[in-house]
Amino acid sequence: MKKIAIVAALAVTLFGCRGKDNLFVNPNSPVLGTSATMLTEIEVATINSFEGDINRTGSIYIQHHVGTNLGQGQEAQEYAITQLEQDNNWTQLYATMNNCKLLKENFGATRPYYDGITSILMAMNLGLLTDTYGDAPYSESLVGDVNLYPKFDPQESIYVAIQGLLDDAITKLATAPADNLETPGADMIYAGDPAMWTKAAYTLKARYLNRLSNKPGYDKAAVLDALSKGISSSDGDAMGPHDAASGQNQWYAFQNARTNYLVACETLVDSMQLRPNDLRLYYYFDSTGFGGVVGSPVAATTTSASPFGAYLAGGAATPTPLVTYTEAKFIEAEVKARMGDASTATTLNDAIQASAAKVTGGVYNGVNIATYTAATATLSRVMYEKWIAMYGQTEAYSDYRRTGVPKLIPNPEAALPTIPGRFPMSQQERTSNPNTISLPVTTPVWWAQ
Amino acid sequence: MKRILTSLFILMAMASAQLSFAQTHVASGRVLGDDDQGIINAGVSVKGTTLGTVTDFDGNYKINVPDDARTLVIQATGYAKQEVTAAAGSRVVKMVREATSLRETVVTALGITREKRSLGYTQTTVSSADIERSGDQNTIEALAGKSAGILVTGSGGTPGASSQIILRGNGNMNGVVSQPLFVVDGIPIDNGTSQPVAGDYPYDQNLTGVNESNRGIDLNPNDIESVSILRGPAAAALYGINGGNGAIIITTKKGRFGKGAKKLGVDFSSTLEYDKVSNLPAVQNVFVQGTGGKYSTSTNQSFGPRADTSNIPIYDKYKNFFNTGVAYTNNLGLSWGTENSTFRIGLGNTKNTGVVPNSQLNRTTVNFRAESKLADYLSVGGDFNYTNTAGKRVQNGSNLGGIMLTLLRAPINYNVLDYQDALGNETQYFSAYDNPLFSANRNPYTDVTNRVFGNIHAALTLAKGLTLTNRLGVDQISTNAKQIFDISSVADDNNDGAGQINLYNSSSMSIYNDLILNYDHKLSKDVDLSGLLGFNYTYDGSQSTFSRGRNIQIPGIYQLSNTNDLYASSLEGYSRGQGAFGQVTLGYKSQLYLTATGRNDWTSSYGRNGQSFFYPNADLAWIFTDVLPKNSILNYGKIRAAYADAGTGPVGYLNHITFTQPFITDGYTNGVGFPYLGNQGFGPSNTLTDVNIKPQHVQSKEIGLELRMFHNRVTFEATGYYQLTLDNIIPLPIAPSTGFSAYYTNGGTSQNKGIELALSIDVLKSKDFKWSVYGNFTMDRSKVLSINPQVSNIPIGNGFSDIGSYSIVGQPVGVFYGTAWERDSTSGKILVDANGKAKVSAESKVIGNPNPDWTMGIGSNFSYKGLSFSFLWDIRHGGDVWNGTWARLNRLGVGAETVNRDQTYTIDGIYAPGTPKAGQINSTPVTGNYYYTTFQGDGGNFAVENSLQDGGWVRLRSVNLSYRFTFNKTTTHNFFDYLEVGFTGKNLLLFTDYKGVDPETSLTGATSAFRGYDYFNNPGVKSYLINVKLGL
Repeated sequence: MKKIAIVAALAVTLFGCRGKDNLFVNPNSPVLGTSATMLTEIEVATINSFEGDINRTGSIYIQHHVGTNLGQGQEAQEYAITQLEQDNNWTQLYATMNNCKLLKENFGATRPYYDGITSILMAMNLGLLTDTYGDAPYSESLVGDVNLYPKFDPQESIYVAIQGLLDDAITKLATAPADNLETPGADMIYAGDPAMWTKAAYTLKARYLNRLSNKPGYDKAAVLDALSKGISSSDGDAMGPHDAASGQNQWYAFQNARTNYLVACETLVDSMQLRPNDLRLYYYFDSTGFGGVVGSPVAATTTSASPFGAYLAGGAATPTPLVTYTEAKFIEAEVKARMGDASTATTLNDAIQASAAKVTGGVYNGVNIATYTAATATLSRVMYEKWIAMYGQTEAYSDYRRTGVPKLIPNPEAALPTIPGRFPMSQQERTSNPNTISLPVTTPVWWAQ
Repeated sequence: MKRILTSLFILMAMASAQLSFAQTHVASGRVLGDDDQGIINAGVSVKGTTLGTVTDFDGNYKINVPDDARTLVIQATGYAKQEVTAAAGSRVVKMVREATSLRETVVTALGITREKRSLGYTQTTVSSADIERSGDQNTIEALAGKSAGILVTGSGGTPGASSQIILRGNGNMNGVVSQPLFVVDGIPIDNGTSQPVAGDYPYDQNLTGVNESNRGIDLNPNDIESVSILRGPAAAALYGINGGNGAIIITTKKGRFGKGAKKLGVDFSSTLEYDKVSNLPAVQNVFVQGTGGKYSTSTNQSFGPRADTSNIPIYDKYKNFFNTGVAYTNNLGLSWGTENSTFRIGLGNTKNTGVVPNSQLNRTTVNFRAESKLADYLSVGGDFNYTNTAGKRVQNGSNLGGIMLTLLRAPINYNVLDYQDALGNETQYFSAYDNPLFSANRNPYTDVTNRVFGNIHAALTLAKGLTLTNRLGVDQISTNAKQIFDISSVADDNNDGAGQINLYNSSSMSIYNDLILNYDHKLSKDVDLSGLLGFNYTYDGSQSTFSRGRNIQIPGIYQLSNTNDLYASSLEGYSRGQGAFGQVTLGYKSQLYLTATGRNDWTSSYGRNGQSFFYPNADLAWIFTDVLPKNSILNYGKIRAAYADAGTGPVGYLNHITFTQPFITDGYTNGVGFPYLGNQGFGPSNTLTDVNIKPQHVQSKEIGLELRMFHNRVTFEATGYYQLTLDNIIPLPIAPSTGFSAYYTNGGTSQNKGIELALSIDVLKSKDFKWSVYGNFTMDRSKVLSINPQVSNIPIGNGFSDIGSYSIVGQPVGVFYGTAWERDSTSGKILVDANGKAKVSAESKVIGNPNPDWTMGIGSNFSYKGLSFSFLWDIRHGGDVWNGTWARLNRLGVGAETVNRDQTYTIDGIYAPGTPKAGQINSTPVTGNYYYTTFQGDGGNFAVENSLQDGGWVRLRSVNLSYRFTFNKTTTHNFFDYLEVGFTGKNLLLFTDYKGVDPETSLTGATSAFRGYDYFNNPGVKSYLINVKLGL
């Protein structure tokens, strides 16, 4: 008996002591990140949100791609995606913004560059959120159990907040390096360069100001002003980097995991083939095995069509465009067209050439298609060219909803007679927040009305 | 040393005594019980001497008696001691049951043996013979159908696949099912089922991966003496914080204390088992690969042309793929016992190759148990188990290398046997999927578990009726697992065929100590008082490391150093618990018993301030027949009632918020993770936690009736229970706009109420014939009563995007929730659009319930002399299974039904409001393609409700036929005690409406609360076993 008691006591001492703190405190996770690790997470999540499901679904809606009957893409093809399927997207956008908020709260005061970059990324996430879902919680959001039922802010006020974040970012990025306890060396987009980020912030300002083209108070001069301080060449593009390890390009990964769920759409392919030698087509889509690029019809889809090409999904490490010079030039062309500006055609041709060079990696300059004149460079042609040039970016779906260009014929076999004007509300938000505003997907978002 | 000397001295004394009693004669005979059957191991001793022997299997004895001895004393458990003449010759001794023979004892919580009549709750004992008849090597699976109140669900027929057991229905509203404690010889040991998970893996690993084992498989069923099933908190109240889900109390075999002469027993058994794949989904064999009637090899669909008209050769993929599984099981038991010491050594090995090529399980067990009475006041003992369990497992479920996913989807024009090209790379029928045979051969998951568990114990009698017992147990598990995805397999994380290696090492250590002071005292002639006080200490620690290498550089070398993209993650967890407990039983005239139990637990899992939790129990048993006149009909009757409250285990580290490396994915790829371009990323966990979180617990009330009639030939037991699972620890979904998507808190109450019935009848009970029938019936109804004032619907975990398991107020726990057809509110008919296509409801609905309506086991044992025949029918009525396999096979044109694809179909529905013919009966036909790919499939605008199917069954779970030759070792010079040959069949008959594999299936394994999922699950098997046993 005595022996056993000794053994028991020994066991208690031996094992009871080991990792005493770890009995109470999780040994696996910290209670707060560092500014560097948090910024990395925010950038990775932002890149992923702009590259992932929202982008793919929008690309089906605007007939860049077709969701074949192999898998989940078919639901988007039939305008039948569900609220449940939005939980991932919605949650990731808010989780990213939560990390932005925590980074700013914990490290912003002593690290203005971190603060500024984080504000820009937060503005991008907020923009993608409201463009996709319309009204959404912002002013009362991201406070955990302090407010479990944040109210939905109108999209109009979210747009004000986006501009506010970008203005704040520009101010913070203008501080002296010495004001920073730490500079964002781990930044994977611009390597922590405040000047580059400032330009991206201005281009984003132009993007979101220009989004209000249907609304009273739309300020064309402010758009042009922002553009003038924005990204001035393709070298300054904000690109989301990838690598072949844990940071794979998600178009590429999607094609591997969900082979031929999405293929080229006939609408885009035929449009680009209407004029000779728009070489971007062969970078947008992979022509291997088909003797050329083949698009699937919108109805009666087929998997015997071209998958993503080198531009979006050339390899695991292919970077993804977030904010580009091409976009800036197209915004400029649009504003000028709206103003009846004489230089519209020149700007549009510049935009097309910028796109051609960007997409083909400089192989093709696009001169043979950048042939617009004052007579032909109409607003609808600008938007049509932008629809082609913005292939693979979420902007294309927003532009279509805002301008109705090009005139797409909705899938006649779909569950709805029109192309959705928004995504369904997240099911989890709807079931967990009584303040949720959940509108039919046929209702356009505020700026598209 | 002193002890041994004494024994030697006695031995020598005995030898010399025998020498001096030169004049002896032989007395022999046969000891019979009240059923006229021989009593094995009855003690026969010469009165007034130390001479003695025990009876053999048939009750025969033979003893050398000194001529001057007059009397032999015969003793057998449960019978009154008898004295017979010691005269020479042979005689039959008929034993008479003791008046107290109804005082059957059973093993209860903490391994404490109590009289069954004193229990105020229900308890079932499953014997080693019952376990053996199942033919199963997994103790949990072996219990299926053998007791009321249990629900056993195996995962599939691959060797070592886990089995889940739930007592009295699942009340847990979170992702872990309410499985009972698994206790071996007084020590709770790990019966968990886990999958290696990479730190950057975003999904539920159980949906994919392989069929892991529940760790209870490390126990060799052949070493089990009995299993005591304690259902509900009343029976398991002494486990306090861990007793809420009941307990499975296993007692291993030990040597018998012999009276007089020592006895060495040797039991050997050898089994050869053949497994055949059981039910498989029906597939069409008419149309080949292609779309729209055109042959194409660039699609996964089988909507191509007819094979016969297009002259394309076809293959039978089932016949080509599945093997006959073979298992060899050998067990050797050595037992030895004297009056004061016993030991038993059990050695076992089972080697099972499965029906899926390259799947196997190999288990070697060593069990050693010794008990010794060192003195009148002190006994000690120990129990040691070592197990080596090695599995080779194949891909399962939603997995591009999944055996069934890739096999079932294969078109008939594809020969699965052509699985590799000249370079050894796989050949595929569709670029996204592996070839099933390639996956089976070249994507092996191998795992080895080495485990040691056991205990040492001692009992010290301090005074009459006062005993101090200590039991110290250890459970140490270490597992090494390796997953290879060979070059060209697309089942790797990146689905790129670059090859991948995952290594997983885990180890866990549990220390468990119970110190118990037992008191038993007769207060007066009529009043007994017994009780115990105890203290428990528990420590658990676990560590695991996951490491991964991607992009295998040189083919054939499966080491991390041969890859160029490395990743590793590691986890640890520790917890400590202390408990103080007590129990008091007051017995009045051995007919009325009142028991009260209380236990207080302290656990480290809820922060430093040492939170404590109290769990009470009270129960009452009344043997009412003691006040009735003695009669020949009802000889025993008891009513009982119990109330208890017990916890369902602490969950560690929930009470503070942490930063994590989040999983970043939209759900269609494996997403991106960290390090990302060499940078680590951290974000706040998406789970907010309640700092005041406390353990969930189960409160139960049960009443019962136990009857024995016609001299115990009819035994009946009925129990009704009402259980509430309170303070469910749930990840309460909160609006993601808060920045978090879940809030870990105590919320919600679920209820389980049910009836458990058991009946057994000894129909025939004569010397040679024995025939008994038995049955059990269980009906459990669960219901979520509340979750949170604002929330009435929570998911149980992350599942598929169209279907999930949910807890929804007013619904049973774990209902299927997913997309549903839009229906007319009055007729309930599906609403169709103007094209005659079914409309999908905008919001998800409750579409099925995985909980069976009721279950029943009916069995019979028949024997005539050495011949035995027995069977067990297992009936499960209701309980939906999501047949995702069926829907997908229809969508791909593979399912048997799709053979009628060229017809049109008119959906039984009503035109939806807003259509031209709103409200009228649908008369617009749809194409066969739409009908199968969407209405009966999972393509396009479909509703997942179409694939919920009745998973009920009637199965012949086991059937046994055996013959035992018994040799009279006493009178002749036979080498053997007995020799038995037998046949066992498992699942030989299965009747079910389920259109797929055996509906006893689980995609997610035993621990998961995702019940009733079939998405390309590996199939079940039926088995034929031939067994030879012999005893020396």
